[in-house]
Amino acid sequence: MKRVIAMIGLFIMSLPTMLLMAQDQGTYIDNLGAQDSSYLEEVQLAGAEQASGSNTTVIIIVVAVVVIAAAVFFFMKKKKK
Amino acid sequence: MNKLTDILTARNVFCISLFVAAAILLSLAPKAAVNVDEMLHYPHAKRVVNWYYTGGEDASCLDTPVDNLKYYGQSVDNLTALINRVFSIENEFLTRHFTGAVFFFLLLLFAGLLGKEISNSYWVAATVVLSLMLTPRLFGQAFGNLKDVPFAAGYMAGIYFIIKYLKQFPKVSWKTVTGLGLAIAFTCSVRIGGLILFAYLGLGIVVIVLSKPFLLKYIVSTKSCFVRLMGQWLVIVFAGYFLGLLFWPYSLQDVVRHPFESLSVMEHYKISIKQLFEGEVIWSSSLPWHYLIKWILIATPEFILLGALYFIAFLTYKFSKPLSEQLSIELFVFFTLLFPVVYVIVIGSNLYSGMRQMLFVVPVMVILAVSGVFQFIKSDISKKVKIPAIALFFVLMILPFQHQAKTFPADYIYFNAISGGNKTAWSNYEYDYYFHGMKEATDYLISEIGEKEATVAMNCQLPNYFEKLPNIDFQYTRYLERSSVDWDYALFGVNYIHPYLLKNDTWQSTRIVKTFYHKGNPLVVLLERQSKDDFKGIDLLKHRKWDEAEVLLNKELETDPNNVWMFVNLANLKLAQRKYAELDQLLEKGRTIHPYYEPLYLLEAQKLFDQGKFDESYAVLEELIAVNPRYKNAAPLLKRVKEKLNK
Repeated sequence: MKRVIAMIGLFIMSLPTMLLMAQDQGTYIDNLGAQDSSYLEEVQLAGAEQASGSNTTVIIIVVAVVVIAAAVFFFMKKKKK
Repeated sequence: MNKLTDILTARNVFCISLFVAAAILLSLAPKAAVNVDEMLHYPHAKRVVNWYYTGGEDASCLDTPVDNLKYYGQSVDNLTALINRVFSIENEFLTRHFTGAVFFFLLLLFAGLLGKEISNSYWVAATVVLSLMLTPRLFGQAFGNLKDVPFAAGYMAGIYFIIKYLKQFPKVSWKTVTGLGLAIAFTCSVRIGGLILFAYLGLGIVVIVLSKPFLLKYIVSTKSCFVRLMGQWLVIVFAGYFLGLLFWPYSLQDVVRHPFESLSVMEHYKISIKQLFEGEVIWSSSLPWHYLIKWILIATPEFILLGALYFIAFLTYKFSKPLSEQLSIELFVFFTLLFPVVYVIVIGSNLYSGMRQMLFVVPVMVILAVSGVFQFIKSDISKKVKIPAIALFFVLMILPFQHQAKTFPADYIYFNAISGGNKTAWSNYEYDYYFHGMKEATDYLISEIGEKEATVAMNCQLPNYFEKLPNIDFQYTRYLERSSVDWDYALFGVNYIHPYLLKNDTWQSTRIVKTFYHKGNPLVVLLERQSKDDFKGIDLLKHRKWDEAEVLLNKELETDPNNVWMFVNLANLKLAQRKYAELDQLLEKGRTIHPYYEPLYLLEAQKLFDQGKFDESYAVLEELIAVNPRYKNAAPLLKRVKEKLNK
C-alpha cells in the first residue's frame, strides 16, 4: 500500500517536470510561404485602402465635360473678337 | 513610271500596309506564346459559353469570389470559347491567337482610319499602321491578350466614329450612327470602361453646340432634324449599352446596376499584385502616382516619343492661329489620350503589369505622333532642319524592329534606349509578367524529357504546354519555395523574384542546368533535381521527425547554398526545439541571401513571442509589415501579440 501511495506521490510531484518537458516542443509554424504574383485573396495586415467608389467617376466626368466645354467656349469667343 | 505612281497612291499604300500587316499577323499567330491571363480568362469563357448552352443552369461563371472574373465582359475570350466548342477545335489556343490577330488587324484598320480623319491623308494612315506594328508593347501582345488589345481596337473605332459623327453633326448619317453604336457596344462588351466613349460623344456634342450656338437653334426649330437626332441618340445609347451586355452573363442579371458595379470594381481593383517598380517591390494597390507615366516613357519606342514631341510643338504653335476644324479634331483626339491617363492617376486606380491595362491609349499616342511628323513635312520650316528631323523619326523605327525580330514571341518585353533599354530594366521593372519566355523553354524541356515520366514544376499557371503529354505531370510552385514540391524538372520565369536577389545574384541555384536569355537577361531557368533531400527533409519536418529532417535539410544546403527556403525550414525546426541560439544563426545566414524574406521575420517574431518578449516581437512584426503589409501568415501572431500588449 505504502508503495502505491509513494508511486502516486512521485507521479504527482513529477507532473510539473513532465509539463515542462512537453513545453520543450516549441512553436512550429505550419505555413511560412510568401505570397507572390497571382490573383490573390484580399489580405492585408496594415490599414486598408479606401475605395472611393463610382461616385468619383460621375464627378470627374462632369467636371471634365464642364471644364473643357467652358475652355473651348471662351477660346472661341476670344478668337471671334 | 507613271503607272507606278498611279498604283502607289496614298490610299493604296494604306491598303497595302494593311495587307502586309495581315500576312505578318497570320504567319506569326501559330508561333505566339500562351500568356498566364489566357489560363485565367479562357476557362471562364468556357463557363460563360456553358451558361448560354444550359440556359443559365450552369451558373459557375457567376460565382468568382477570388478572381473577380464575373465583372469582365471578355466578349472576345467568350467568342473563342464558342468557336472552339461549336467546331470542336482541339488546338484551342491557336484559335485564340488567330482571333487575337484579327482584332489587332481591326486595331490597325481603325487607327489608320482615325489617322486619316485627323490629317486628311492616307499617308498618315499607312504610317500609323507601320508604327503600330513597330510598337512592341502592343504588337507583342496581339495574339494572346484578348482583353486589352480588342479593347484598344474598340476604343479606336469608337473615337473614329465619334469624330465622323461630330463632323457630320447635326446631319449625321445612319451609317455613322450604326458604326458608333456597334463600336461602343463592342468596347463595353470587352470591358465596361468602354462607357467612356459615351462621355466623349457627349463632350464633343456640348463643345460643338457651345461653339456654334446657331446649331442648337436650328436643331430645336427644325422638327425633322430634331426627331432624327433624338432617334439617333436613342439608337446609340441603346445599341451601345445593351448590345454590349448580351454576351456577359453577370450584367444580364441586372442590366442597370451590375455594369456600374463592375465599373467601380475595375476602377478600384481590390486584388493587389506584387510589382517591381524602380527597383523596389511594391503592392499594386500602393504604387506611386507616376507609375503609369513612367511606364509610358520607358516602354514606348523612341520614334513615337519623338513624333509626340513634334505633335505637341505644332499644337502649341496652332494656338496662336484661329481655331480650325482640324485643330478641334486634334484637340479632341489629344483629350482621348490625356483623359484616361489623368483619370486613373487622380482616382488612384490599382494598376499593374506595366501599362498593359492602359494599352488603349498607346494607339492614340501613335496617331498623334505620326500626325506630328506629317505636319513637320508640310510645314515651312527650313529643309536643313526638316529633313534630318523627319529622317530621324523613320530611322529610329529600326530599334523596335530589331528588338521584335530578335525576341519574338517575348517581344512585348521592350524598354526604350532612353531608359537604358532592357539591360537596365531587368531587376528594376516588371519584365516577363506574361511568361512568354516559357514557350521556348517548354519546347526545349519537352524534347529533353522525351518519353520519360517526369513532373515539371513552374512558377506560373501554364500547364497547357504539357496537356497533350501523358508522361509529364505539372506542379505549380513559387521559385523560393520550390523544395516543398515534388518535381523532377522545373522551369522558373525570372519574374516576381525580389530585386535584392537578382541584383546580388543570390537567386541562382546550383540546380540550374540551362538559362534562357532575353537580350542578355536571364528570362527562364531550367532546374534539374539531382536528389530529393530537400523535399523529403521538409516532409519529415511536417511529421515532426526533427533529427532526420535536419540531416537532409543540411545535406541540401551543402549542395545548394543559396536555397534560402532551407534556412527557413531549419529555423522553423529550431523554433520547435526551442534552440534559439541556433535559430538566430540560421536567420542570420538566411538574411545574407535574402534580407527581405518575410518568413525570416515571422520566425524571429515568433521566437521573441515564445520568449515572452512581446514588445520586441511586435517591433519585428512592424518591420515585416513595412516589407510586406500583405504577408497573411503573420496575421495570427500579430493578433496574439496585440492581445498581449493590449493594442
